[in-house]
Amino acid sequence: MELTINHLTKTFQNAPAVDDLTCTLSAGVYGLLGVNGAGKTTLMRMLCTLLKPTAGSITWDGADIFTLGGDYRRLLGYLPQDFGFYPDFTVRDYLLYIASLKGLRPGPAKARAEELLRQVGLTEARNKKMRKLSGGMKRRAGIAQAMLNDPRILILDEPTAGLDPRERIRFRNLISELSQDRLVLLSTHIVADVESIAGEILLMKDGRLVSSGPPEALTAGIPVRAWRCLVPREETARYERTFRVSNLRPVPQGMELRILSETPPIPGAAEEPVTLEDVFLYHFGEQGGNDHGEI
Amino acid sequence: MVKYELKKIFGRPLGRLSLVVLAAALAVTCFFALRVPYVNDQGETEYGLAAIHQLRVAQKAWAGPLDEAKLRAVIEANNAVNASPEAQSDDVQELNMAFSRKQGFNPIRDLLNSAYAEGFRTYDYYRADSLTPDDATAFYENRVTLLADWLAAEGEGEDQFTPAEKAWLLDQYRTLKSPWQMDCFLGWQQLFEYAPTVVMITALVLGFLAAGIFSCEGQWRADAIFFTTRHGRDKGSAAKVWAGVLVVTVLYWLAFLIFSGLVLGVLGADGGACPIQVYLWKSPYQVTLRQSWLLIALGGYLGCLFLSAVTMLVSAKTGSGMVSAVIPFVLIFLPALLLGDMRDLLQAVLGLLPDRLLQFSRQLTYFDLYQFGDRVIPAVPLLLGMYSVLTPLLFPACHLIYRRKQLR
Repeated sequence: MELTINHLTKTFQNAPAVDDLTCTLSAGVYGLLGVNGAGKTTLMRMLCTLLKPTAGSITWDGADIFTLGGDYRRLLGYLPQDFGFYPDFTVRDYLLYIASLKGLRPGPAKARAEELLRQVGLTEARNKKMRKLSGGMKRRAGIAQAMLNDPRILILDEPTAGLDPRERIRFRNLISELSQDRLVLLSTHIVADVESIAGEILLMKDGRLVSSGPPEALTAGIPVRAWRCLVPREETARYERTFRVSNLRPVPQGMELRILSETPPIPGAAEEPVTLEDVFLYHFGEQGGNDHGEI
Repeated sequence: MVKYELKKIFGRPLGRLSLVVLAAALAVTCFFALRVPYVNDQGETEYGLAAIHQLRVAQKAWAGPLDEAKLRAVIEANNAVNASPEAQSDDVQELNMAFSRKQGFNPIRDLLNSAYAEGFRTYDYYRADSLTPDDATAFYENRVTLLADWLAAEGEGEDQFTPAEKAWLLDQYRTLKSPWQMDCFLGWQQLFEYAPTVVMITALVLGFLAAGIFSCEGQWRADAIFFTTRHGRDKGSAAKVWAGVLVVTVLYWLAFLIFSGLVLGVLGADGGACPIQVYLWKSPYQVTLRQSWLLIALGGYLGCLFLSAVTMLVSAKTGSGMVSAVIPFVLIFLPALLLGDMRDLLQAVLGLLPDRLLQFSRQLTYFDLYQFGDRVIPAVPLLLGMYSVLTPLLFPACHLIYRRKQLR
């Protein structure tokens, strides 16, 4: 059970969205982290056979996934970032339709749909029209459809985007439950979403993998350490210009900063454990800070 | 899967609205088709079932072979009415009373106007009034003579047809079996009159429904999941095609058969064995009214199927429901606009465009002929043959295009 990405490139109008990317994925949860525009969705769309690569290949256990076609998609569960559905279908009808597209026979499809509805907490809403579901419920219906065929490969593109914190935690736990014995690739730009559930993190920037490995290896792998220090409020801006500041917290004595630096930024700075957020900031500092405030 | 595709089509408010529009249009068309006037012996115009019954009784009295004796009798009866004081009067009511007595043989009187016209392309409503019973002998012969004269006349038919086409037309006229069978064909007449309206409205509604079959996936952004399923690119895409064929087939035949059933049921289906010429005097086709109905029905079905297939093809390719929904409008109405300006240049091509399939009841009277070597083929069988081959090719094309779609 191995998904091999070999020198994969996808170019749109001469601009590479994915650029010569190589990696191998096997069973486990992978967190694909990167800022918007890093090429995560393009990579995932190629992994789902929605897009053909400009160069390179993707193989499943040695066979090209585009040649495998339906045989590969039989193993696949996919929840796209922009989850679309049929607004006038009930949740149950929607799942049964997707089940038929996935090749499940009506009897087993009904049983599987009921099981998943229960698992994602949508049993009560099974006869509701899809368009009447809340954002979180839609996402849960989305994960249910992805799981219908009990996929060996589960690809989730920004599954928690737009969810409130309660739904995000619920969704994260659900993914964790469903991730047993399969390859789960979870793309996000929200570090907290993968920190607790991913066994391996892939950091993507400008279409390339800049770093990958287990969270602990990534946190240990950056050449900076995290420091907590207290500075006068009026000097905050100067520190932000000089260092990578991962957090600011006003306190009665001034401003408490969390700074990434090889050496203590000021005398008396207290060292703290490096987190995945720090790794993210280290790699995507400028882009990350500009593009979104969810780090 | 087809079941779910149908759910997608009719689950949308616009899908259901289309059905309402089709039903309403059908109801309105049936209302006008069944609104047949009958002038009673007091000279008053009546409508409704009783009026239809009266008219049918009057026309049934003249049923039977349209031989010399019957033509003579019609001319005599017509002259007798014309000689009556009511017909001589200037009073409209009195004139209507006279007309009331002509209603039974009025369809035959119309044929006389055509048969004894001055030229093939002229029609004089009062021509029958100037005939004597002895003129009846030339009825069938005149039809051939008028055509032959017109085909030989410079600046008329002479320039429009090849020698082979002229020979074919004359042969069709000469070999048409006579005497014709005559009956009250009121039901067929109204059916043929309003069939193009029903077929065109149905084609537009079906085109609108077909436009969403492929494009809805993109509009709802459901295509990403659709294409990543095991059967999305094969059975899933094929199910869309089948759903399209099913919707067109069921709705078309439902609309056409309801319309036909109502019109023939109320106005009568008598006269099905009469030749089409009792309704379309000039028609070169040797078919009965019943066979013409079948041709009209088949032409309409093929037209709807073809237009919907083109719509689905554009929808599968572009992903735009809006663009593809416009296709049936363009294919139906553009040829009519072009014909006005570029008649000579494009007539041959325009005569084979799919809009013609939707109005076979008119096509049956046109002299649209196509010569292949020595063989002359009229437009109706050519259109049926051509689109029977083309249409089944379009549906697999929709599937092939859609299944290869890539999503950015």
